[in-house]
Amino acid sequence: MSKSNLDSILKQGDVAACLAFFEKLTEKERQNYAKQVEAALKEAQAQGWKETTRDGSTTMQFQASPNLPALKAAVWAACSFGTIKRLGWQAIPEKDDDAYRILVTRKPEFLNEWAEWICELRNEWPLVRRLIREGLCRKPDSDNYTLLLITNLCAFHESKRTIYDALVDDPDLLRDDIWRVFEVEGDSSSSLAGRDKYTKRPENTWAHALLQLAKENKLPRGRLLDASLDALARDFGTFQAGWFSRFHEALEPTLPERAELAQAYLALLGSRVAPTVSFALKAILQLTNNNLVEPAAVLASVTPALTNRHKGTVLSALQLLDQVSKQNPKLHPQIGIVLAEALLHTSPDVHKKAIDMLARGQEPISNDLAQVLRERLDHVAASQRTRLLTLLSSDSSVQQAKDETTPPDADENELRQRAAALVPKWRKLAGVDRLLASLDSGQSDLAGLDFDPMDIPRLDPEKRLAPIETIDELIDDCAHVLENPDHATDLERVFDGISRLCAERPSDFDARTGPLRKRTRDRMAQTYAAPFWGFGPLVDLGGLVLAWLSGELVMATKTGVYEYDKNFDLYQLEGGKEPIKLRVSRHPTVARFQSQRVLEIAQRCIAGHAAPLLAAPTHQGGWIEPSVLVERAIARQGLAATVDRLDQIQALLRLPPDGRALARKAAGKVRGEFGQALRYALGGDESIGADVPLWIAASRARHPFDTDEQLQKTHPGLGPNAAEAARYQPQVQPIPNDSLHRKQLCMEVMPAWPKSVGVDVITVMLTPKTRAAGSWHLESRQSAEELHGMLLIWPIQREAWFGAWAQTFANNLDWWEAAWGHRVFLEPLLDPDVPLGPMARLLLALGLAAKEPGESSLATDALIAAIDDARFDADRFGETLAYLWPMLKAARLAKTLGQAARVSRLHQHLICRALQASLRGDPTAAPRDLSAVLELLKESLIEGGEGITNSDARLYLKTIKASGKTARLVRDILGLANHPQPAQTRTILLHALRNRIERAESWNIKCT
Amino acid sequence: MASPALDYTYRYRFASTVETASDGPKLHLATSGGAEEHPYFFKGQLRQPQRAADLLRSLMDIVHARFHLPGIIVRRFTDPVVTCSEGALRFEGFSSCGSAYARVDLLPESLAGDVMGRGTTNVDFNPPMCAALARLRSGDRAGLTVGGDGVELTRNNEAIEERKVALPLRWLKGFVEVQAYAARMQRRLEIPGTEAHRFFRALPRANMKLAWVIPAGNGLRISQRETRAAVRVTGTERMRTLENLARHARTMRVYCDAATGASGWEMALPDCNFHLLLSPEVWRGFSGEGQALNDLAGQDWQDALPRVRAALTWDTVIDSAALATKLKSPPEIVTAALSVLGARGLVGYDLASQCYFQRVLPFDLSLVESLHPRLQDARKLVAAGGIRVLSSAGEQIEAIVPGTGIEHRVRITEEGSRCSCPWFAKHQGTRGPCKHVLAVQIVTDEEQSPQ
Repeated sequence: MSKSNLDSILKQGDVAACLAFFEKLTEKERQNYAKQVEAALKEAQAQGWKETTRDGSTTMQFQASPNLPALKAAVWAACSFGTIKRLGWQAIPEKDDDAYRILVTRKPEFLNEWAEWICELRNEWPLVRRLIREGLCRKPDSDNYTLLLITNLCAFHESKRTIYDALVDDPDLLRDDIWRVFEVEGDSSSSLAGRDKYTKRPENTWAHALLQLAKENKLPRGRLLDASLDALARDFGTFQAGWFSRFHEALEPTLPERAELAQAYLALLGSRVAPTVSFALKAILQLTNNNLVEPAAVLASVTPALTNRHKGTVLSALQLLDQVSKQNPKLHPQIGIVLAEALLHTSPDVHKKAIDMLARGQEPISNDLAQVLRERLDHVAASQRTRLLTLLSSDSSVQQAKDETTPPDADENELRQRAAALVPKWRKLAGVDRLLASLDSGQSDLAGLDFDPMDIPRLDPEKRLAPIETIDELIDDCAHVLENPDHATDLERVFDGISRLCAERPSDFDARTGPLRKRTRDRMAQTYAAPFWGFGPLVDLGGLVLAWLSGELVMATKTGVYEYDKNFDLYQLEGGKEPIKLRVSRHPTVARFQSQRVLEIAQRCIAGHAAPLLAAPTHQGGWIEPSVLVERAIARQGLAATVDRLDQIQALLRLPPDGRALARKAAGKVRGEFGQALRYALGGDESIGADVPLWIAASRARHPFDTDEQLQKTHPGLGPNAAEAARYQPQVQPIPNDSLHRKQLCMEVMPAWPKSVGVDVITVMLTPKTRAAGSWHLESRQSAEELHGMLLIWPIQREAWFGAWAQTFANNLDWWEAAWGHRVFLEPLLDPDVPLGPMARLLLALGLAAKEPGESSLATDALIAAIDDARFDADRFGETLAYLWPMLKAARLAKTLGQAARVSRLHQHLICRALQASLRGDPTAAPRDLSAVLELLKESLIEGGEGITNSDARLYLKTIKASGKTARLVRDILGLANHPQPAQTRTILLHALRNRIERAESWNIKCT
Repeated sequence: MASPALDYTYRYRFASTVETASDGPKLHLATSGGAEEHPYFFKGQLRQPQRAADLLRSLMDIVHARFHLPGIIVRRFTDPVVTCSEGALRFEGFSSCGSAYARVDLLPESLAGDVMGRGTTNVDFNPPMCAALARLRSGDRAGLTVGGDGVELTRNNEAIEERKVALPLRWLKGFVEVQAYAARMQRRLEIPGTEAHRFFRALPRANMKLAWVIPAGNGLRISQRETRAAVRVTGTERMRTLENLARHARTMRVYCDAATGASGWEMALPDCNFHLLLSPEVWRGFSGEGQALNDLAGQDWQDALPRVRAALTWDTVIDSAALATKLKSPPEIVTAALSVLGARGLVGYDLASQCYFQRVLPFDLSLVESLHPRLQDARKLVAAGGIRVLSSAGEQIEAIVPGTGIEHRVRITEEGSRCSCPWFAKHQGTRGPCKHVLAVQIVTDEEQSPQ
C-alpha cells in the first residue's frame, strides 16, 4: 500500500479498487492520503473546465473527468470531516452504495455531525435513513432532517412508488418522524406544500398518503387534526400554511370533532396569515350556527380578524359577529366595541356592513362606544359617514367638529391683500384674477394654467451653482463625483473646473493628486469600458481626469467589424491588466454626443489650454444664465484654446427664457458663426449660417416648441426637433399575436427622421423614431445616471422628453422587466414650471397606473404637485385617461388617485372631476376592474356633496353594460344629487388661490 | 467565507412558554446570562395581555427577519435581551441582518406584580411560544414571569435548553452603535394611531428601495420627493411589522437623523411603547457606521466615565442634567461619557423620553474597540509611524498619512474633517471619520496630552 498505488487506482478511475484500498486502513493511515486525494480531486475538477467559443462569445463548460467517481470516493474515505464539508457537493460519491460502504468500513467519529451536515445539503436521504435504521448514527435533531424526509422520501417525479408506499415500508417513520413534518416551515420547494404542488401524480403526495394512512387507522385521525391546527398556529408563510388548512379540511372533521377543536380555531383568528384566519372563521361560523361554541369566547377572539388587511376576511368576521349577535342579543353592547375595529378598514363595503350591524342594535350607543366611533369618523367612507353621524346624532361634539371646517374670513382677507400686491404680469399668468372672480361668484373654476414655458423665469437665485475655485476643491469634487457619478450637475461642475484650472500646476501637484489618480485608474478598471465612446459618465470622467492629471488620452482603437452584426465595430482598450474588447455602435447616440463633448475638454487639457466651459450650468437644472454665456464666449476669444464645437451646441440648448434681451446686446461682441448663432438663439435678427447642427441648436433654443420657418426654409428635411418641432400621436393598439389580448402604446413621431443623422444633431437624436407595435427589442436600457445626464441637455423642452419616453415607459407598465432607470422619465413632472402638455399628461397617467411602487408613488407626487401648482387641468387629464383605459389597470390607478385625493379637498375635487371627464368613449373598452375607479368617484362625489355634472360621463355610465358591484356603483353614482356645500367650495377655492399666489410670488422672486 | 462572529451559548433552564392554567394563561420567559446565570426579574401579570402579546410578536417579527441577504451572513437566530429597571421591562432585538432594531417598553402601568431583580439578560423567544402569544386575549388574566427557577418546567434542575449561536459582529456592533444614532435623532412627524394604521395599510406591498415619508392631509404617505418634513426610509418592508401595532397606538412619532438618514418609529400605546429604528441602508445595518468613533477616539470623558457608571442605579431613565449636577461635571462631559457607555453596551437610548437608560448587555464587550476595524486600522497606521502633521493651529490641522503607494492628505477644521481617500470621497463623513482622520486625531491628541 503506497501513495503510488493509490495514484494508479485513481488514475484508472476504479471505484471498487479504491474502496478496497481504504477498507483495511486505520483512521490514522487514511489521514496520510488525505492531502493527496484532495489535491487530485481539485486538479480533476479544474481540468474539467474547458473554454468554448460560440457566436463570438467565449464561455466555460464543464466536462467531467472519467476518474471523478473514484476521486470522490477517495475523499470521503480519507479526508477529515472539515475537508469533506469544505468540498461539499464536489466530493459526494456518485453512488449511495459506495458512500454507505465507505462510511460503514470507516466508522468515523464524526458520523453524527456528518448526518446533520448532509441533511443541510438536502441530499442523500436513503443513505442517512439506512445508517439511522442500522443504528450507525443518531437521528439528526435539526429541521433539515425533516425537510429532507419531506422532499426526498419519494421523489416528486417518481413514476411508480408513492409516499404512502415509502411510509408503509419504513414503519419507524410513522412513530415519530411523521409528526415532525407538521413542525417545520421550509420554503417554497422544500415543504409539504411545495412537494405536493410539483408532483404530477395526485397519489404521490403527502396529503394523499396521510389521508390514506388515517383511513386505514395506521395514523390517529385525531392527532392529525390537532397537528394540522398546531402547524397553522405557527404562522408559517402563506404558501406553506395553505397545505395544512387544506389537509385539515380534507380530513373532513365532524361537528363534534370541530367542537373539540374550538379553542384552537379561535386562537387562529390571531394568525398573521389571512387565509388561515379565513379558514378559522369558516370553522367557527359552522360551530356558531350549531351553537357549539361559546359566544363570549368568539367575541373575545374575533378582534384580530376584524383588523385584517383583506376585505374578504373582515367581511367573514363581520358575518360571524352578525350570527353571534342574532343568537345572543344580550351581547350587542359588547359587539359594538368590537365592530368599531372594522371601521379602520379602507373598504366602504366593510364600513357599510359594520354600520348596518351597529344600527340594528336596540340599546342606545354607550359613551365608550361613541368615543371610539368618533375617533374613527374621519376614516369612514363618505357614503357611510352620514349614517354613522346619524347614529351619533345626539353627540354635540361631532357637530362642533364639523362646523370647524369652514375657513375663517381672515384667511380670505389676507389672500386678497397678497393678490393685490402682485406684479400684474405674474398675477395674470398665475390665473389669480380668474380665481378671485370665482370666489366672488361662488362657482368653482379651477381649469389648469395654460402657460407658455418661454414666459416663465427659470433662474432661481437659490439654485445658483458655485463654480469650483481652487485646485484643492477640484480634487475633492473629482474624487466625490468619481464615487457618485449619478450627480449629473456635480459632473458638469467638475468638467468646468478641469476646463478652467487644467493649466495650474503647483509644485506639489503630483503628491496632492496622487490618491485621485490611483482611484481613477481603479474605477475605470471596474467599468470594463472605454472613455469617450458613449459608455457612460463615469468612464468619461475617468478619461478626462487622467488627461488632466497625467496628460494621457486613454482611447480605444478600432480592431475590426463585429462579424455577427455589421452595425457594430470592434474596439480594444490597452493599458489595463488585460486588453478590454468592446463593441461600439456605428450609429450616433445621445451618450456619444455627451462623451465626445468631454473628449473635446480632455484634448484641450492635454494641450494645456485652460478655458471656461461654455455649457457649464450656472443654475440647478442645467440652465446657463445668458449673460454668463456671453461673458464666457467673449473670454474665450482671447485664448489660444481650440473651439469646443459640441460644447457650443450644448451651451445654446441650455439657455433659459429669462435675461435674453440683455444678453443679446452684449453678445454683439462674440465673433464668428457661434456669435451669430448665439444672437439668433437669444432672439436676434441673424441669417442662418452653414454649420447646420449649430443652427439647429440655436433654432431650438429660440423656438423650442414651434417650427422655425427660417431654418426650415434654408435647411428642410432635417427631422423632428430640428427646424420643425416634433409632433407625437399616441395610439393604444393590440399587441400582435398576444393570446392575452393585451394592449400597448405606440407613438407616431412626426416629421420622420432623415436617412442619416450626425452625432452633433442632438435634438433629433433625443427624439425617438416611430416604433411599430410589438417592437420590444428597441426599448431603452439606459441607467438612471445616464438619464439624469440626458435631462440636462435640453432643459426647456420637457414635452419632447415625455414624448420620447412615453412608449418605453408604457410598455413596461406591468414591470415585466426591472428597469430602475425608468422612473427618471417622470422626474421632470415635479418641476412647477413644466406645463402639463399632452405628453406630460400621458406619462403622468401611465405613471399613476404603474406596477412598480417607486414609479407610481413618484407619479402620485407629481399629480399632487401639479394640483398644488395649478398646472393640473382635470378635464384634459380625464381625456388622457379616457383613451388609455384599454391598457390601464383601474385598481392601481384608483389607489394612487385615492392617495392624492386625501391630501386636501382641492385635490379630491379635481381628481373627482378628472374621473368624471375620463368616463367617455366606448364603454366596452373599459377595464374589467373599473369598479375600483367608480368606487373612488362615488366616495369623492359624496364627500363634496356633488353628483355627476359631466354629460359625457352620465351618458357613458348609462350605456355601460355591467353587473354585480360595477352595476351597483353605476346606479349609486347616477342617483347622486348635485348639491355642493358652499363652505367646501370656498375652502377649495381659497386653497387654490393661496397656491396660485405663491406661484406668482415665486416668479417675482426669481426676477428680482 | 463566514462573517466574523462571537461564539455564544444561550443556556435556559426551561423553554419559554405560554402555559394554559385554570386561572388564565401564564407567560413564562426563560432567561440566560448577565449578572447571574439565570436572573429572575419579574413575577406578576400583564394588564393588557393581547396588546403586550402583539408587541412581543412584532419584536420577534423583527428578530427573525432578514431584510438583506449578503452572501457572508448565514441565518442565525438570536434572542432578544430584556432589561428590568425600576418597574419597567424593556425587550430589545435586532433583525438577523442588523438593519432594524426593535424595542418593546412595558411601562409600569402595563404590569402588576413584583420586581424581583434589576439588570439585563437574554430571553428565550422560541417559535412555539411566539405562536402561542396569539392566543392571549384582552380579557384574559394573564400571568408573566421573567426568569425564575422554573421548577415546574425544569427536569433534573439542569439546563434543558442550550443553543450555541455565532453572534455576528455586525449584529453586536449594531447594539452599541444604535444608541449613537438614537441620541441624535430629531422628531419630524407625529400622527394619531388611526392615521398610522391607514398609512401602513396603504404602504405598497412590494419593497421600495428608497422612499420618503411625508405628511399628507391628517396622515402620512410615501413619496419619492425629499422635502423639509420628509423622513427618509430605505427598504420599506422593514416598517411592515408596525402595521400590526398601529391599531393599538394612540400616537405614532417619527424621528430621523438628518446626517445619516436613519429613522426612528415610536408607537406610543397607552401603557407601553414600541420603537423601531431603521438603519440608513438595508445592506449597511447599524454596525460599521463609526458614529461612536469620535467619542471613542477622544479623551475628554475618560475621568468622568467611572463616576458616571457608578452613579447609575437602574432608574427607568437616566436624567443626564441631574447626573451632571450630582457629579459636579459639565453636562457635555456627562453626555459624552454616556455616549461612550452606549458604545460599550452599558446604556441604551429611549427616543420617547429623549434620555439614556441603563442596560448592561450580557455579552463580552470589554474589547469593544476590536469591533471597530476602522479604529483598529487607525491605531495600526499610528503604530506604523509616518504620519506627518504639516500644520496644527488650534482646531486646524493638516497632515499626511501614508497609504498604499500614495499619501493621503487629511485636513481637520472646525467645520469638519476631509481626507483624500475614496472612503471619504464616497461618504463625505456621513458614516463617521475614515481611518486616516482617526489616525491624525490620535496622533494630535497624544501630542497634546500632558503625558
